[in-house]
Amino acid sequence: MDQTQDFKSLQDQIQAALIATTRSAGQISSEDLGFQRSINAEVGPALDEQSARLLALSTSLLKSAASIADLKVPKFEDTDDVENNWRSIVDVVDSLLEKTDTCLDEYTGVIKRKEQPEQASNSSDAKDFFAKKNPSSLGNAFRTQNLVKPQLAFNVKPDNFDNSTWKPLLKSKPHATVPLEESLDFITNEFQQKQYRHPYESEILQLKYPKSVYQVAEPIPYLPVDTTSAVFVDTFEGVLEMLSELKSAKEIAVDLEHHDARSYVGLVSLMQISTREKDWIVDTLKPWRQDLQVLNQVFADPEIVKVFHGAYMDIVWLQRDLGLYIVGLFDTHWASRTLGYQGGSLAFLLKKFIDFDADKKYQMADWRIRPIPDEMFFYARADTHFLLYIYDNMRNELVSKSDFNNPEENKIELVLQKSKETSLLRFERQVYHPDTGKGPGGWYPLLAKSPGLLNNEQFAVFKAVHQWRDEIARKDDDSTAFVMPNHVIFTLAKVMPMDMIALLGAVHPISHSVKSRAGELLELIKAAKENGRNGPSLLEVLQKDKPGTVVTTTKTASDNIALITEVTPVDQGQLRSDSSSFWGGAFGSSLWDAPSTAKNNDSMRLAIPLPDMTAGAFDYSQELPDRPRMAMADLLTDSQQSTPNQKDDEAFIIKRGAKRMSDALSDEEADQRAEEPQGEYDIVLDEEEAEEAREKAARKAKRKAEKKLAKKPKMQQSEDSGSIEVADDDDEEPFDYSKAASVLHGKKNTEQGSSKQKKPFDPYQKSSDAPKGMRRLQTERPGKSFTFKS
Amino acid sequence: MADRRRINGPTGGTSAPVFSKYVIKSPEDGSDRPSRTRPGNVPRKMFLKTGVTPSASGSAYLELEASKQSLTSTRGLASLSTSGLKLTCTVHGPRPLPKSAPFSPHIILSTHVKYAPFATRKRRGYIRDSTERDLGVHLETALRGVIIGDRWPKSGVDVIITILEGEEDQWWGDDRGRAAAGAEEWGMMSVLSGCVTVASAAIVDAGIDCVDVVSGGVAAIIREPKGSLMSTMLVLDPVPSEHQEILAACVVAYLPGRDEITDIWVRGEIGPLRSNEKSFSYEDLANNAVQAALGSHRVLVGALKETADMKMHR
Repeated sequence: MDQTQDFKSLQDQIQAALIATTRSAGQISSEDLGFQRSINAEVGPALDEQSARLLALSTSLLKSAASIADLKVPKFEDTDDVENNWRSIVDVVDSLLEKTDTCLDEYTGVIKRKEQPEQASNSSDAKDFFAKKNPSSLGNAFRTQNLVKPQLAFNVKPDNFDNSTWKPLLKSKPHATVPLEESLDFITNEFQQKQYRHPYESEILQLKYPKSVYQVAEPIPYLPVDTTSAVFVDTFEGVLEMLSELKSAKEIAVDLEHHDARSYVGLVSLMQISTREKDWIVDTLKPWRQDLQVLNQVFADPEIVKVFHGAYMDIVWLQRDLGLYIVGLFDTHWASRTLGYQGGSLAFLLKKFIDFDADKKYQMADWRIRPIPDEMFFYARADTHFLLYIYDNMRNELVSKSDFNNPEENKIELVLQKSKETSLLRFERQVYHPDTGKGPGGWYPLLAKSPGLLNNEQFAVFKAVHQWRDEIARKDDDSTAFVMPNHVIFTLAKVMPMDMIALLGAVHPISHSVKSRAGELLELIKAAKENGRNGPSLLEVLQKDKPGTVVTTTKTASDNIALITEVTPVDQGQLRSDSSSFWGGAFGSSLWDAPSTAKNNDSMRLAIPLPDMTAGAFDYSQELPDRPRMAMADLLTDSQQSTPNQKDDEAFIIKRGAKRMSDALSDEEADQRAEEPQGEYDIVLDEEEAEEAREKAARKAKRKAEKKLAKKPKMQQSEDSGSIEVADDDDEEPFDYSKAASVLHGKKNTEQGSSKQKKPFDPYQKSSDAPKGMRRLQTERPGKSFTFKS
Repeated sequence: MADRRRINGPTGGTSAPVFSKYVIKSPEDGSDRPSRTRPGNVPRKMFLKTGVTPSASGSAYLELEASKQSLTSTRGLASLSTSGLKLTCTVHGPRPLPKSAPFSPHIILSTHVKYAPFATRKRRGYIRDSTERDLGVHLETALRGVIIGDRWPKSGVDVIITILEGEEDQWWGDDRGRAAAGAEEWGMMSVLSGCVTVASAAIVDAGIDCVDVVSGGVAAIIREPKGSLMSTMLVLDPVPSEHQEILAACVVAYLPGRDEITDIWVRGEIGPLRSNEKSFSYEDLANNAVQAALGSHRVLVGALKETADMKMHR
């Protein structure tokens, strides 16, 4: 800083001096010096003296400047020298400027170099940067830390290999209606296992909540967060003090913070308790944590309401770690569900009633950290500080919306009932079943939900790795997710690495527990792969438990068959309706009206009288000698008489017996006619012809059979015969529905038999061998075209 | 995309106002919901007739009967009543492809399905949207294998279906919010099955060669209160407004003569079920949809016989 100050003053001085000098030099040179010399004899020598001095000064200046640049500077003796050696002066000045530039660059570079390591080590900057990017992400300081495990210091250390029935930790039972020994008996759960009963089961079932729960009362406001603070309780004396204060409260709010990464079963790390006046935060990672049971005097007191939010896990954790039971629970989550709120979470309730935005990122933080960082402490406190006020509001709303006489509308009772059910939840030990994989920590739920199917070897490797992971997690007392996440097991099962490099490459992220046992894991995978080839397949195992499997199909199949067969007997009358509510009587096309008009031929009256339609009109016998009598008149009278009796719409075909002009065609027609099925009303006018036609048909059939064999060469011969033969083909083979390609599997056949398939019709094939025309001389190119006339 | 060819109504869609005295949501009036009177294995009565559009090569009209409603508070309120599905189909072709089209050795089938703007409770736009395109694709899949395409090279056939009245996705009184339970489109399933049947009738009316007559059927697994419990049932030809909750539905396009399915579409999920509920598998659902398709096949064949008779006598 001093240097810069000096430099400024220096710069100012130099500038001032320069300006003065330049001004004076300018003033002198603008004068007519030659004249002045001649006028005044003293001017000459004075000027010469000064110019010699100036020349000497500039020489020495240039010399010193040039010494940096190693340039030669000539000696100046008079003004002409300056002009003659101007180049070298310019060189010197240029070198000076270059040097300055380099120095400046170095200097700014130094600044940059000096600043970079500072930035990296300055964590607050990084945090700001990330905060800009993702304000809600948890800093590294709060995530799971590699601390000394608190469970190593517990008085009662967790034993993960104990598979016996878990016994409640309760030593004494305050507020008991049934004594402790009687309440600790066995019941069987749904898996036919014996479990200890909930010690406070009868008390909870018989519980009558205090009257205040059923009454609307003015919500007591919470104390402001900024002015009050929570008491951190980490000694047993502190607990007893807290207990004495809690006993005088009517409602308390409780919340827990749980850690599940570095412990196999999990650790309750913190317990937050609030009354109307005070908040406490209890450290539950102390060695004497099971002595916190003493709080049962308050927690099991039916006269004090305990308010939780979403207690279903908290109840189990309290039992498991601290031996605490809740009699008189009010769960605000059930309250919000019953009241039909849009959200059921605590954050939603806080926002709704208090307009407080809870920062939920600390849910994922490591709560074992001691001393608890300020932000986490504040977050923990906020969980319970406002809960009693929320409880007041929700209780008032529930009570006002409840109809006490109608059990379905008694909302408050509903919530209390649900809360009772929640408080009756019990902790059960998680037993690992390697063969079936069922149970909470088993492999079965993982595989049932994963989309891809594993083959036998992969399945065996999966089971083996899964079991091994469970074992080492229990040994090291870390959660299975921390030891090896599920996706890693899937990777190992799919890849089945056979050497260490492949194994280490597949296991991402790798935890210390796995790294230290990598050899063991590799052996395990190899062994499992060997045995897996003959083992059960995943498909069988999964299908064993699907609904409608071997065991139960007999029942459901018969049900379904019953359902299926019942559909078919429904007759068409029941399926089809005759009228449309849209069209009514007038359906779209007049085609449907035609039969009705055709029926009333006789009653149709035409404007112009018809000519005499007597039999004589149809007498062709005189005019057409080559045609025999058709006896159409007889025919018509017959038909006219017969139609009133019979149905109008019976089709009849008139077949001509005589040959026509072109023999070839008539041959075909006769054959065609002979082939058509003869209906009841079909009239064959010429019996002889019909017989002939039938004989012809027989002959024709023989010929056709021969033709079929020789079809191919004939097709390529004459065109006349070709066209007739093509027509023949259409005739002989009506579409055979049974032989048509399957629609469902159509594509597969074509793919397989594509080589055998006929080539699709190529219209240009005939012209491919024709001589090609000359190439066009003038090809059109894009762009403007001009025509040059001259 | 702004549709400048017409003067459009408001973009969000309009619906007629329903005065609150008709919409009393109290438990006594729960009986307003139309209920399914027919047993679970009986489909609705179908009216099917061809020849509705004489200028087209083939055409057909299909109508399903309306569901019975209790005539209590919605009497006279037309905007809240529903009648059944109404579809009309026209088939144009086989007609030659335009010159610009490349050579094709088989017939090119193109299907268009469109809801008329007045077809649903919420007014639809004039331009095809994604659900209509979906239906068109399904219909094309269903019909593609049935038409004998090799007989008509360089030709195209157009199947155009207009839905005059569509099926509702849920009863108007249920009024589930958009977010709750998803806006499930159960009505589309019945519409698709009707589309397949009516298109098949129109194609036969047009005289295009087919391998078999395809018909559509739909079945669903519903959850209904039986007494005080909820139980699951498998029903044919479901009407979404009659049921409180549909778990899964399946539409099939079936060829009875060859016992083949050309198109199948399943929507929804069966599990997880509560302990007292019967469990069904997806195979059951598909089999029952095939039964429903058989029912509509019988109606179809009856209608086509009439058409054939009428045409023969012209």
